[in-house]
Amino acid sequence: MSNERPSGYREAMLSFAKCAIPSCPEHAATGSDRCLRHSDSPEELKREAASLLSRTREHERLNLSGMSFSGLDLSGHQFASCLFSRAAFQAVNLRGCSLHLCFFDFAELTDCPFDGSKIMYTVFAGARIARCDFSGCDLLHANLNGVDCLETKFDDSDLYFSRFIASRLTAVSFVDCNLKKVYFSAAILNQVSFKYSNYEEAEFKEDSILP
Amino acid sequence: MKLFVHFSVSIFENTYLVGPDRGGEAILVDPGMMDIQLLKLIEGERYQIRSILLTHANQDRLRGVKTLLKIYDAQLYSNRPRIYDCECHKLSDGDRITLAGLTVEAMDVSGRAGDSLVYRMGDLLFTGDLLGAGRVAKSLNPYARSLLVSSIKERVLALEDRVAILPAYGPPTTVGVERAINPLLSEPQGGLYRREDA
Repeated sequence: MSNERPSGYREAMLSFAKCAIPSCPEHAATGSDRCLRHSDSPEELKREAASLLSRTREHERLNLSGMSFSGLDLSGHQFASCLFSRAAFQAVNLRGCSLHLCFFDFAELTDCPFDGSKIMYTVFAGARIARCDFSGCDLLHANLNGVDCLETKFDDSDLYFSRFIASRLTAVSFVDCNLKKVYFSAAILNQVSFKYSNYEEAEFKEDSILP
Repeated sequence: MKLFVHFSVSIFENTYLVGPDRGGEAILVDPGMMDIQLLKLIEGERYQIRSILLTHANQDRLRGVKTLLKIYDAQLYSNRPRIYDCECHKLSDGDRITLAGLTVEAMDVSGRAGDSLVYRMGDLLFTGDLLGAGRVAKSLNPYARSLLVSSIKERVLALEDRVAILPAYGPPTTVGVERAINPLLSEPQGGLYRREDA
């Protein structure tokens, strides 16, 4: 038996230091012993975070929750076990990225291209996604429950086992996608296109999520 | 600590492998199917499986166990002393054990068949099929459902928002996300989207 890891696996290291403020339940931000809210210099922390993202292409175990990023070119970068909860991404280029077990829950993603990315076991739940492009992505086992998604494309993507439960999708296209085992239950769909996609293999019924 | 997710394409389930950074004793959570890819992953990381945690003793959870026990000298953990012909270390609600250098806490989230445990390791919560992203496990009847939903609210949603939920089916989520978004947990009766409301 070979002692090499088979392809397709990526380790996650979801252990983060706690914020140094004893009563705070949050994780400490990368580059600090406190979370962003309790940091003495949050603006400096944000600048350092943007610099860190631009300096290297492989990112692991970052906690940049709550931070704002604008105009960065992160195309082709690899992210594993990174926390971006409640972060804001404005016109950040994430084309051709690899995202594994990352958390963008309740984040704001505006005008961000993700096309050609490989996104696995990643959480976007509760995020506001506007004018983003997820075309040509492997978006597998992604949690997009409760997203408010506007004018966004998922065309030519494989969305196997991803979920959009209780989401609000407006002017969103899923043209020529694999929608096998994708849940849209309890979602509000407006001007959504499923052209050339196997939407019959997706789940739309609200009672499909009943216990 | 490293965490790996293995997806079985034959039973559509996630199995989680948890182990130290540089090989050694490791834990498998819900190995529904033992296949060559999982074996290569374990061996590639130089792990020896010493502990197998089962969230629920149904057939899906057990398919891989017998094969694993032929390869590794591993101890099974569940809330039963025996599952079919396999002896288990029985865990109860609140039990804390140390496996592969990690503290594992068992939580009995009853209300279903009464034999489900979820396991917490630090900020990771392995929920099996009890709670997934936007979903909860199926119940036999409305009473069982009510018990289950109440139990999840009392036990799981009481945890910190940051705790990551790693289910047997589907994508990961967090306690904070499920508390805010899961339509089945957002109402006292257990869901906005009941069949009778449709």
